[in-house]
Amino acid sequence: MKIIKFLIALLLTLGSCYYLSKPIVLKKSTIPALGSFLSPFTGFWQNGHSVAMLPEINSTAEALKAPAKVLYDKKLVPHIFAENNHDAFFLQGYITAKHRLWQMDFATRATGGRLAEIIGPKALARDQLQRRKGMVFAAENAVKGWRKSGNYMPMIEAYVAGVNSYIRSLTPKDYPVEFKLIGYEPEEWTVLKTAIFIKAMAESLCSREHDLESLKALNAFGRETFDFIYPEYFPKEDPIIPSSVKWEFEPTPVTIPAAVVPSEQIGALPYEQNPKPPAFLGSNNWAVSGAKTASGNPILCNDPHLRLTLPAIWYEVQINTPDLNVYGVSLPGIPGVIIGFNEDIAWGMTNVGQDLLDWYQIEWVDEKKDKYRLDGKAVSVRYVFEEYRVKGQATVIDTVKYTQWGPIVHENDQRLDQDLAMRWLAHDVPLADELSVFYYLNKSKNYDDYSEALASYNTPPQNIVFASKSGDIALRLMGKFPLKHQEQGRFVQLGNTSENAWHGFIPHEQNPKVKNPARGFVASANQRSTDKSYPYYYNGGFEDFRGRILNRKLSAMDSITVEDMMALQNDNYGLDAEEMLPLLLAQLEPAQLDESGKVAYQTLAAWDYKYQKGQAAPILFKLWYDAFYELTWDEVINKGSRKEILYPEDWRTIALLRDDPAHPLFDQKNTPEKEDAQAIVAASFQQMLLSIAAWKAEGKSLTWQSYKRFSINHLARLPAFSHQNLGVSGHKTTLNANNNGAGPSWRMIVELGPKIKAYGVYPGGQSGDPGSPYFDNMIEHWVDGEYYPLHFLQRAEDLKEELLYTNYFNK
Amino acid sequence: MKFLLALVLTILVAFLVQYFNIGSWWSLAVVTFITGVVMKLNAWKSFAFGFLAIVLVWGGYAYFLNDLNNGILAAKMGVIFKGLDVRSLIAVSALIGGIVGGLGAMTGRLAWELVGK
Repeated sequence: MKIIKFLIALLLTLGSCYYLSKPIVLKKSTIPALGSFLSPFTGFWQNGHSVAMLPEINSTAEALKAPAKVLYDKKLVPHIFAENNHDAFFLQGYITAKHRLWQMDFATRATGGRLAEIIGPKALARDQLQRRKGMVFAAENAVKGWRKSGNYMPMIEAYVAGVNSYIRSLTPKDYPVEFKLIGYEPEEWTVLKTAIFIKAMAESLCSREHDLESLKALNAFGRETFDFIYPEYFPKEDPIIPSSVKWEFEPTPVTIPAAVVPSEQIGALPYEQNPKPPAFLGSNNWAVSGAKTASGNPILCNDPHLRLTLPAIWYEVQINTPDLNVYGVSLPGIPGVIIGFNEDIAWGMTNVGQDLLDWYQIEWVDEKKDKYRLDGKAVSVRYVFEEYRVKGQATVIDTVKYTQWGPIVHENDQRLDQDLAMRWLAHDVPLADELSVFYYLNKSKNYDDYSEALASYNTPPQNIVFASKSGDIALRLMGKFPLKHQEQGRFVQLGNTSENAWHGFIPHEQNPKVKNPARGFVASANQRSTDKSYPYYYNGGFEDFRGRILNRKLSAMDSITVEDMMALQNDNYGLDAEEMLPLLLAQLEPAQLDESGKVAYQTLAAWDYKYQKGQAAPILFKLWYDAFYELTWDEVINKGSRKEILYPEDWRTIALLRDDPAHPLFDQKNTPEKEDAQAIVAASFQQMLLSIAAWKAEGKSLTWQSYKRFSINHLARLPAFSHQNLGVSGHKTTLNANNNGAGPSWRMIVELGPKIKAYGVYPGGQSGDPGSPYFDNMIEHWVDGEYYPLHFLQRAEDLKEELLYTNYFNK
Repeated sequence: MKFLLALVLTILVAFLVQYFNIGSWWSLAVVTFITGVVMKLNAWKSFAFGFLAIVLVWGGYAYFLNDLNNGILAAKMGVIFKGLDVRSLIAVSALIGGIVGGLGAMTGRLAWELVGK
């Protein structure tokens, strides 16, 4: 009897310990092991750190060469004061990990295709695509390049050592809460992971192309109609480099090789496009010269538009050593400041849209598909074995074939001539000093330093705006660009001859640039870099509306103040609406509309083209335009989704309605009537009214913000850690470019007077810890278009009452 | 009186062992097993002091940490746990610890009965 009682009790005790130590797998989610997760000694309660801060804390780090300190200001921005660069970058790594460790881990796993290890089989397909795209191959090549010279390598290594020093200081109870929730442990940081983070940026900023969709459209419509629907040049384009700039160099001649097969003969291919980064990941930057400002000092502004997440992509930091003193935002995982300013200069970035990813069709020798034809020879592929550890499942082994063009990404088992290899500039081994760009920018004192700093950088290419205290403003393209013959890379090309390869690279000094133009400002918003006078061909995805409105507004401004610049970054004026809405309204006959139609007409006619969050007109216009677009381009849309066939640009749609209202494209192919533009405008207006009626019937309010439902989501998409349905204004066409969870990820304004005045805000917070008040404290300010003054310190003592606490570091 | 002593002793030892992270979260069961053996209360009373001690240690410490944090994280965790409020989250944590603690103490006592006399 006694023994039975004992055994029952023992079984219950061991059983509860055992089962409470195992994660519970449900259909859609996994609940972490409840015992350790709910224990206040090991679980999530440990992550609810005290909101009260001690005024001083002391840490030790053996790798330091001298004592150093980090002062945190009231926004939790660290100001690193170190006696040498090694210690400064070591500490940057240490404190970035302290605040963003899980984000660094998760982002590099997602890019490198290692998510299945922690979340199981549902992530495997995504992981496989990441590896097939050669994301790790690209990062390994980057590290190969960086190691060649060694100039900057010690800084990266110091940063990596700092991250690892922090990781080693943790016990399981200290792990960020997401590790506990998902149920895994942080692992060592490496130089390769830093490179993977850079490739994550390359993936979101320079992997967009339309080769397959364009080829399909070309085959569907033939050359003449294709050129009509998809012109490469937009006649009204207002390029980044003003037309007044002349190209004072002897261009390398590039001619179309004899072996090139016209794209029309290649034929459409059966693949859907890879998932692409959204088109509106763009940015604005500009600098105005002292002649245009009220104070007489140059002002520089930048707001990179990226996918907005929590934790935020940016981490604000000041680094102060005898060698440099710089303030700005950094990327978690990368040493130095990416966008910022120092005592003499400020700089900012926007993305360059040039197409750097081309597809080559491989001609296999036989069904084994291990040799392909190139220049009449049979060349063997290089096999790379990819191993996927999958949580809760056996390890999966997969091979990726590498050709001289790059990895094979798309495969058609039925054919020997349709597999596609990916040629991507971000795969290339970069120049040795690629990352030193940021270091040299961080310590630039003038225009010459800035222009020298940019020379060794590869990808992702950026428009770097510049302003200096001495009064110079400038903008130049940083990055490596392939020399392409006309239309090269616009469509898929044949991979059986090396004549189809890029013809080399544009020398860095021939990259487009402008310094102190007569108009008194430099600006970019992802539009084309140059007008057609630039001697090299390039294609890509370019923005048509923001660039023009930015140039128009800056041209008209004078006696500019910092407040004016804040207003401009938050400007919601839509040039798309200004150009399209009057054309649409002109085709409508208001007298023939019913009551609800008349109300909608009046609302639209009275609209000031500002996409304000509380207004109804932006929804009416958006729904009307979308319906008009679909009815107009039915010829295209009937042939497939955006993943399959290229969709015409908005400016083309506007131009068609304006210049060619009787064009047969307006005719609906599936109706017996012969429609013209007027009929399509009227039909789409009715569709819009129906959508609005349905919208109202659901009891939803007719405001732009309730239509947008703008959210900033946690990286693991946990609603509890996200901010949803924020009341923001703006649209992808406005300078305040908020759209579908992407938008201004960092708004910065720097006035370069005798004393630097700088302002900034980003939608998030310095801490990546959802239990910290600094996790999301800046979001509200950001939504309201407000800014924080940035505390750029000359001496540690200058922080005064803005000091939150000091972290002293000793050996 | 003996019950109170058992309770206080278990609270003290369990807190120290867990605070200094000796063993895993389930080290609390080892602690209550030992106090169950040592205190020589009957099986149900052993369960009771083991349960109560860990409820107080886990619940009290969770309450304390949550208070320092102004409840920021617990409110968000509550959303993940199907809308539990912070108090219920503390209660659930305490209860889970308590059950394991009680079982440990009871097992300790029953083990003693098996071999002790």
